[in-house]
Amino acid sequence: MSVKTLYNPASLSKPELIESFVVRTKNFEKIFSDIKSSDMKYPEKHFLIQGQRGMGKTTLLLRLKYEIENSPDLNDWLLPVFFGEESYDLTSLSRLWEKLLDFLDDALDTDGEHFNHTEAFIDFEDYEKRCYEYLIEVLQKNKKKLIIFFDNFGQLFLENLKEKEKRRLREILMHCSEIRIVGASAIVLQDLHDYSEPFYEFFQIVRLDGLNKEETYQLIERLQEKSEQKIDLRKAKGKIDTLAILTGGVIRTLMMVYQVLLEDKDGSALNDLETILDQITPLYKSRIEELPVQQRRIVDVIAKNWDAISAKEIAAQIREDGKRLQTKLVSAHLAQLEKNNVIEKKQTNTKNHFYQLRERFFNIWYLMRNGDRRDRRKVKWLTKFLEFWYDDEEGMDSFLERHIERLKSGSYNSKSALLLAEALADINKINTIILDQLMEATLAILNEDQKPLLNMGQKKLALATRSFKDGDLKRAIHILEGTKEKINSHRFVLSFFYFLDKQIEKIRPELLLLDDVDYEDFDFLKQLSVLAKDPKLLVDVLNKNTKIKQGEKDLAIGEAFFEVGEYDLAENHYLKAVEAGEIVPYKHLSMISFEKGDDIRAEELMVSGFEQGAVKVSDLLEFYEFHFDQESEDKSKKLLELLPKDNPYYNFYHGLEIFNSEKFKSDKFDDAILYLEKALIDFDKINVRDIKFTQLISNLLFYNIEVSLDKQKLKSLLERLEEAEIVPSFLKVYAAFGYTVLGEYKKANEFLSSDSVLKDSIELDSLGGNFNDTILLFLAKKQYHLALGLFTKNEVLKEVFKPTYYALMTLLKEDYPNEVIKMGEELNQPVNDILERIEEMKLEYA
Amino acid sequence: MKNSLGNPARGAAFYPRESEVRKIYRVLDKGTSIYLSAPRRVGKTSILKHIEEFPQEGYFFVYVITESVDSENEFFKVIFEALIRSEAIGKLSKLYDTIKGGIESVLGRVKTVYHVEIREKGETDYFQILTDLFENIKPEFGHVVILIDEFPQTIQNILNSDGNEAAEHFIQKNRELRHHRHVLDKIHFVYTGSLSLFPMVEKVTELTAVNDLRTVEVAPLSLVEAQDFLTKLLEYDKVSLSVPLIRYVLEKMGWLIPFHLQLIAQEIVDVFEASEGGEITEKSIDQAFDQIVHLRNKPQFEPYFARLSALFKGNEYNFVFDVLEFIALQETISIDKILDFGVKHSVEETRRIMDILEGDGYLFKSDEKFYRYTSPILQMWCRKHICK
Repeated sequence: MSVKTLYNPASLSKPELIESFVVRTKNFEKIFSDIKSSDMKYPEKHFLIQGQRGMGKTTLLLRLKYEIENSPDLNDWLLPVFFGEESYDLTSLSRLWEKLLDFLDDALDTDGEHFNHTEAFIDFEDYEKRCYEYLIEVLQKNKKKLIIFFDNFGQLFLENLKEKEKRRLREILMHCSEIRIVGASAIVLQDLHDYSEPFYEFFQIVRLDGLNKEETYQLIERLQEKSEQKIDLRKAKGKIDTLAILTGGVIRTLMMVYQVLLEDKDGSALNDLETILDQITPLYKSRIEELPVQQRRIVDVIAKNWDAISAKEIAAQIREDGKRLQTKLVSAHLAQLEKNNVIEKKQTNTKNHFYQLRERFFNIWYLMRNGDRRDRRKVKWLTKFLEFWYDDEEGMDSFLERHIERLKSGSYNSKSALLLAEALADINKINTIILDQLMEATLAILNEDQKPLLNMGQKKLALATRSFKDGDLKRAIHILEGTKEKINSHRFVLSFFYFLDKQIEKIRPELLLLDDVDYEDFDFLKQLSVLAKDPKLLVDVLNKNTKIKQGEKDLAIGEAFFEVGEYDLAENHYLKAVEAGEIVPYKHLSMISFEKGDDIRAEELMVSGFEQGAVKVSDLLEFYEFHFDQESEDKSKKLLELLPKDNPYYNFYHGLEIFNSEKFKSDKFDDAILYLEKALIDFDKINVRDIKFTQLISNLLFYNIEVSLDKQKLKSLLERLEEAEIVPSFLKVYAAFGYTVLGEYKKANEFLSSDSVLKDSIELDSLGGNFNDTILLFLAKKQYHLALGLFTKNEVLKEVFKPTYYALMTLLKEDYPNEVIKMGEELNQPVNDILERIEEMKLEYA
Repeated sequence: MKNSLGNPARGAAFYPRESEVRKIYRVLDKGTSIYLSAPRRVGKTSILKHIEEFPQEGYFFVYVITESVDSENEFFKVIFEALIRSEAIGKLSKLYDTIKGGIESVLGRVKTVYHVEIREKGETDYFQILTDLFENIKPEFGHVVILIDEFPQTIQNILNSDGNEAAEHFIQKNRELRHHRHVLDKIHFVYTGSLSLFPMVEKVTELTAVNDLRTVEVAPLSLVEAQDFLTKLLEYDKVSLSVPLIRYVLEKMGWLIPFHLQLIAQEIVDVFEASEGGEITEKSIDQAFDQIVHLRNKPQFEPYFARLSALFKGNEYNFVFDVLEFIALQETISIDKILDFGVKHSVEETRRIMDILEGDGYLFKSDEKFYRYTSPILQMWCRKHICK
């Protein structure tokens, strides 16, 4: 069965359809046995088969029809009629009677007599009633009954009836014993049925839910029978189960995915899928357009995510007039969408549920038709299916090898090849070498228009980067070396990989082949020549460069020499750059002088740079901070006066100055904190997170813990600490202490148990004291076992913080009675002191 | 016995409601027309179709359903056409040549050739024609009874399309027909429908317009009947339940109307089939009850609640749903709480509304102070699908 016939079961011949009917057999038997056992003396119950698209409704209707045609007991009196999805003109009751009369003319060979009879009723107000009564008369006269198999019964027919027709229909359904209806109705996105319509109660609803695991297995087993590429079904049981879940058990999606994954020898399944997507576009589009705008955007986010996603994540991706959508609002819409069957909720243990589009095929359509042509999300669904089906490397490799063979055979559909290549490109576990071959094989069969779509250069880069991330540097280099038509990016990345692989000698020849480097890559080039310790390379590459100004070239070359410590050459080029009109690199020149031992010149350069506006006052302050003499401190003070109030470092340096010079706990000291708290706001504005930020936070933390102990501020400071780029051990210990004060012991323990903290606390006395204090606070807060954990993690701690350890053992003596006994007598006093201190702390930090 | 869930039960699927049928004849014997009252889905239509098909000696029944009818003249036309096509008239005219001529002369005014009516100038007055037809029927031939289903709906239709005056006229015209000299003591009517008649009439005119009708209530099945009915339904699907289990089901159901018995039978069969022949226990019965409120039965329940929106509007509607939801969750509601809801929704006539809900079979008063659901099944549905 091709993918196309999946969408039109009516195009299958009767024996073909009967032969391929393997699931839904219970539904079939149930309905058929009802039909078979009914003589239709009285009005019989009607059936309405409901389910998403692709659940097998049409096939079930046709199967029933064929069975009636094949049953000698039935076919002499019961005439089955099938109205397919294309019966667009069937929108009124009278039209239904006309069509049935027309059908009877065929079935009874009456050459249009019955249909033509309705001519006489034209223009009568009760035309419909007359047609109906005539139809019944014809049926009774011929001793026939009708059973109508009506596909898309809800949307095509019921929804178009006028109020009065609906009530008529109810009367007829209730009392007519000549006609019986088996309808099928799709729940596409929203279940539009208004069950308050009274005629629905005459229908027995048969809901076709997704196939369960067992049924999916049966279906695939049957599909396998004709397949050349047989899979071991018993081994694949787990996968088939997952496939049932991923497709929602929708037969059509299952079969489509099956064919694309396992049966597609020439890409025709994917190509057919494209055709079908086009056919279905108007329907799905109109369904989307029926949704309110905000729901449309929510559906967009969910669809593009493919996997289930939480309300919070959805909210984070939607902005309205520059504002984020509230999660509460998103949840309300989600509830509505769920009620309308657009999405389904995946329950989790927590309050955060996940949501995905209920109809997986609709999701496929959405991705394929709403992503732009180069949008990788377009084939996300395919990626996911491939990924799970070939979940072991071996299976995936052999699939790829097969696919490469097929590509090479020359008959593979190029558009499908492109889709598959895109899908495979995103699977992380694929062997990158094979993937590389696959890309080459795909490229070979694409026509000139399609080639750019594969975006080969970018793919190669991605492949190489992935290999690198996977830890396979050699393979990354191999892929890049094999790239035809390299552009600068390839050469840069390749050179960087050479550096990592210690093939420094290969960097120079590679970079010499660069095309004219532009400003964008200029910096990377400079870095590479520094890494290669070859500033001369920069000179050579830039030699013939036309895009970059000479002065800037010299500046960069100067920097490169500066970085590798060749100060003379650096100075040389810097001066050339200055000659060419570039701004004097005061800081570097100052550092060169400093290195040469010429402090005076160094300071001169900084000061004149400052005067020229090229050196920031904060840089100058930093310069003086390295000089601990009184003179520098005085200069610092003076400079501070120069610092304008609106300078972002104004508050920081003022605070720091007081903090360093004033006595702890003096009145002025509080001023320092005011400055520093303002500095924090300043830093946020210009996003300072470097060492200055660390310095700032640690001072504030110190003050909070030692002086003010304001828990609310403490909490926010600790949160801010997360942003710091640099967090030295002493600060981690502070943080641990702070978190313990707040009662967040887990967090405290994370900081305290980090390797660097343990190591430094053991080695550095200054840190050890604070570390010990934190453990004491643990004990004051009854976190005995966290403390014990630390001692167990590192045995040396027991030795270094012996009194504390035994204090802990005293507290835990019921659990570890033997441990306290080991304690030497000389420790009695220290341990008692500690236990007392713990008692004090209980009050201090209550 | 085949489960005819959804359709009016007919033939072998009809469970004989002997006491209800006897009640109807008792009133008819006295020469009174009837309003057959019962909440929806209790089996009114099935009873009417049954007595039409199997009439007592001396009775001729003609059944019409006028759900789609939305004008007075059409209403009488439907009755007229049903009459002349009915076996009743066929039998009468065969039996008694005297009326044959009379009927033919009436028919002469509405020539029907293969349903093509050649109309005279102007619109045919079917009320007139109908009374002319009745004139030819002699009381000694027997009782002719016209069974009119969905009559209140017809009033509603006329009200919707032509307004209050037309609806009032329609009700009065029916009264006039019943009291017509050619009709009185000779032709009788049984009205019924899934909307309650009296609130509908009250909406349009005075209740006196129908005070000549005798109300006959259709009661639920008795315990013995229900037990018998359920056993027979299950037998058809080859499921057999011990008497204690059947009693267990019936106790859980509370309100023993055929429709709910059909529903639970369907679900028990479903559970039985899913268990592939396993033994049915109280647990499986509980499961069947849980399944009743599955969405697939929506078409069976939704009209129960949807019709309330036709009966009540605005504040009254909100009041009704607050009450229904409250009872769904709390089992009962006290009069005090009802009054509280009344204040909340500015509804003063709480008593009238509660009477409708009771009369239409949603609720019953368990003692003077509390209302509860007539049926735990309805309560379950409301709790699962209506409550927010």
